[in-house]
Amino acid sequence: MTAASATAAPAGSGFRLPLAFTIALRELRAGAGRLSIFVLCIALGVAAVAAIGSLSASFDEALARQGRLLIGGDLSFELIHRQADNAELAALEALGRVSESASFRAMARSAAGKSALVEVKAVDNAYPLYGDVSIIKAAHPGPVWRSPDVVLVERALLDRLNLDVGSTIAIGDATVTIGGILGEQPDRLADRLAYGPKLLMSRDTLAHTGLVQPGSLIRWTYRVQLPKARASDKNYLTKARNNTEKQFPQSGFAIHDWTDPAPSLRRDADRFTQFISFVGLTALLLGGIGVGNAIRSYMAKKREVIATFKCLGATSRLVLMVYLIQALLLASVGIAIGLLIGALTPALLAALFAGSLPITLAVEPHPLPLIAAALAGLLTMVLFVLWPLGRATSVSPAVLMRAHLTEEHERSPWPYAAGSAAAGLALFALAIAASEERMITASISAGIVLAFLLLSGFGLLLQRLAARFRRTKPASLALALASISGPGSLARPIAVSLGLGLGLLVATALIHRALLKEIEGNIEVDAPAYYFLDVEDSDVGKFADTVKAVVPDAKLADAPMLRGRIVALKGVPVERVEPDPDSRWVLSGDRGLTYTDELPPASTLVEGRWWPKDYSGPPLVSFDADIAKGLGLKLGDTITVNILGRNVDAKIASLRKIDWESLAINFVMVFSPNTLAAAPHRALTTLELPKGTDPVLEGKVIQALAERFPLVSAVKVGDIVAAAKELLTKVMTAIKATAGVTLLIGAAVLAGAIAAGQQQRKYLTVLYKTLGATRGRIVSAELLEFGLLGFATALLSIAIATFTAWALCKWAFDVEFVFVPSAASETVLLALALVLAVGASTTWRVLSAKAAPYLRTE
Amino acid sequence: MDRPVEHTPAIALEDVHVTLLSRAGPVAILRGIDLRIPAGDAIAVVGPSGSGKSTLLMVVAGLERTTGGSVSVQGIDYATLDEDGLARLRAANIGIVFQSFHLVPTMTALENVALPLEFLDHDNAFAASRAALAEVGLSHREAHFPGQLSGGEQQRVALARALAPRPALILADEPTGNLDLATGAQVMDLLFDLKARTGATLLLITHDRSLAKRCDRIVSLADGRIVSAGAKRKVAAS
Repeated sequence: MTAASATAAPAGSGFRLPLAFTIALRELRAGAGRLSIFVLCIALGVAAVAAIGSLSASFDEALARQGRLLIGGDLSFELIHRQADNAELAALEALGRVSESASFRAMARSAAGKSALVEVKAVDNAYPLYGDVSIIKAAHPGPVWRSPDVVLVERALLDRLNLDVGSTIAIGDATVTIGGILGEQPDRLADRLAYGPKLLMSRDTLAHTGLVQPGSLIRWTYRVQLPKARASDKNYLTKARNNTEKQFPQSGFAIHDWTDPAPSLRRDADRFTQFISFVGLTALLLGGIGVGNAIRSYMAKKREVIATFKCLGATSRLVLMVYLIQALLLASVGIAIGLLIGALTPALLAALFAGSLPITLAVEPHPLPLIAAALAGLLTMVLFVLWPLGRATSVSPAVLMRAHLTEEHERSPWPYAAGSAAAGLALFALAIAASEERMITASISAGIVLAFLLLSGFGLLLQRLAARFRRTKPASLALALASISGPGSLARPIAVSLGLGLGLLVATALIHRALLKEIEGNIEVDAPAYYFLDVEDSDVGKFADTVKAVVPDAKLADAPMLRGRIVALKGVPVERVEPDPDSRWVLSGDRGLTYTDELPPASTLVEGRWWPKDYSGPPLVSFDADIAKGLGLKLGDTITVNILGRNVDAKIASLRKIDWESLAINFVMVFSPNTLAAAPHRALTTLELPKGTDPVLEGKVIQALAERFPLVSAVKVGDIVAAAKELLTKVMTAIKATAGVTLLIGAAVLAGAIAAGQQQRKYLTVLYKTLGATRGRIVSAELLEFGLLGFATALLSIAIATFTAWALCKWAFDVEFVFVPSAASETVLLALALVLAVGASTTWRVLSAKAAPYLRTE
Repeated sequence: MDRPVEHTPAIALEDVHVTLLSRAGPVAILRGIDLRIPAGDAIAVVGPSGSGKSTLLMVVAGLERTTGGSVSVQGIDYATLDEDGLARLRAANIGIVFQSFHLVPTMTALENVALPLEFLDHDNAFAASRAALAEVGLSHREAHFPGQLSGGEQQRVALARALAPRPALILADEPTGNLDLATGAQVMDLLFDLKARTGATLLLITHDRSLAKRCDRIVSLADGRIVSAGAKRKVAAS
């Protein structure tokens, strides 16, 4: 026999997949149970990413699918302050069937004298073009709101004014009958944020109210239903929009179509999804750590088997293939479970929160986010598994006969490290590619990795500290510190697995408290009690007199107000402008405008000069300095604003720094009086009541105003604040829920790490018992060990979270940060509860270990 | 498989040194071992604990690299082979029986025996494995896992595994160390019987003098050196 023939690879052995697969399956027969943590960690991580992606796709799909229902037509054209003129109407009617509606705020007054702000929609007989108005408890069947002086109202108004179907209320100059309770209606998403219950009436009823006055703050919407053949033709939609804009360049139409019915809602949803995607990525990486721990523990148990394989003639490559196939098979199971959970999430949320969501989610699975989640899961698995597998291939067959050959001698060959690194880079590339804000994603992804490294380093620090103080009394503490500092220490696993989840929860709680405090402390305290809309200029004095007759110390302020839309900046249409994200809101939709010949209160001129009194030159405007910067505007630039169907060019004469927190009446754009004074408009009036004003007195003021000025709407700031707080709480709850998922995965990772060291713990427990330790002492030692690590991890989490929350409050939200001790103490308790719960199950198992298997020699 | 030309020794060790590094410094385990074992012989290696017996076996098995000298098995110089080459050589030429059996716990007796044949891409691995199990009297246990077998049965499975590829060389490291006397005797009878039938060369590490006397030659090791190589004995017919 020659060396060549005896050692030559068997024919076809370069590719031995079938044998590797066979051996892998044989191995898994008995070993799969130990890898359940592996499967669980992959499943949870993939589920988090898949769920978030599925929800986002589901929301986008719902917006697209329900577009017609959401805007109430194929196209919608919106004007503020004025109706479409004959030419405009004719052009819209040429497109298809048109339905006109008017939306505004008004006061509804009961016979008993109570009043409430309502969101009125007055519609013509063509409404609704799509969908149906659902009526709960109607006086008569059919579209009762089309009857003269009959309205539908939401139940909240009946509760507020203590009324029922059939009762009458006064709106403006008209008295109307409540014909039924308003349920779902199409185009609700097109409505802006509601400050009061909704009310539906006919155009005829509107005419009786006298609320349509020149300059009234009414939004006129023209919904168009295209012919069936054209309705789904996106090219035709675009053409129709462009032609209308070309035909009426000064109309000021805000145009939407069914393909993108709620762009700002979609943007907000995208932004929110982006944020919780980072939490999803964190959950996936945490799951990956669990996977790495599980595979390391599994491979450690397989050292002798691997050595046996090698003794019997298996090559390193075959060994790698066997265990890589096992990892891939288990990862596939985990990924499948995760994808199933992710795919079902929209359906689950739709079922649980149907009433709270603004639209009906599209619940069928969406392939793209699921594919992305599966790929992310696979890359995570490769990232965390390749290194320990590489190490396993370097197990020497001599392990079978050499007890001194511990794992310390085994190193992972560099190609495996390179493979892991490549998988890690691919994972981050995937996250960045899937994101719209790539720089932010890259920065935050790097931040997440740093956070893991920081937590791992902290765990190491705890080990070193424990080693320093291990010779201490009492004995239980010494045992605990020895366990923390020795091999198989849980310091790093606990810090890494729980630190991030706890930190996220604390940061969310602190930011939530800071924002609530801002609302409660500043806005509620300093804000006016009421804003009054549509006060006639000539009524401003009488308005103030009416208030002061009831509350002499009340303070009122007023400013003329119209609404208009910025259509161009420096001659460039706003559709082609790329503003800073913080300034984008100014360009979407209409904005409040005012004029004055004096610098408004709570404003400081930072550039330029205020126009003199009686200025009569070309239109000038004073702009908010920060917003101007975000829009790329400087002193001397021209902006074009559409007001009442006319484009007005105004030069920026000054830039102002506005103290918005003072809540004095202020506007982003203030025009020179000669620009707007001649336009029909009304006043915005604010009312500040002295602290401690009796609510009964307050009610009398509102009642008096409602009776004397029936066309004026009163917006109670408290109601807006309550709505804002409720929305904030909902958003924060959603964020906390995703942080909770991270904590859940962390607990699974921790359970895996503890399970990996179970044998060693049992051996030590048996040894301690043999040497005289009582069960009580052993239990104390275990609880002390877990308690100390949980407490230390909680402290670090609180520190990181506090810093993060402070930085975000200072630089992102511009609110005052206050440390809230209860958020910290709740975190400590949660950490201790988690760690002790997981630890307690371990303690029970190690205490019941029998001595013989550990102490008897072969 | 091909049998070597008669004068090529089954095992040839020339001035073999093995020095291992420990925390206390280098430790010489084998110091200049010269040993030639003809094909077909049964050699017992005896010596006190720490004399280097197991290391000698590991060197012959290609599980330990020497720090000096040369090792050849079946005329193949180990210095010319990498790790995978040594693994393939073991699969084809060397059967190893361990004191602790080292069966794969997640595989049945039949699958354990078939492993080296599968590593060799043997066409009828399982048929040959069944035959090997029958030779050791365990046909009725082929579907059992190691945990379901007694110590003696496990060692017999290990024996079948070692011999299934019909290796030229059998290495046995204290094969009866974990067995009671009666079972151990059964296992050794089986080992020698199979050795005689296949004509393989046997290198047996043992503390048991009575076992050693069953071999053709006894090599004594002490402190990493051969203190006596022994003359070839005439073994009484069993």
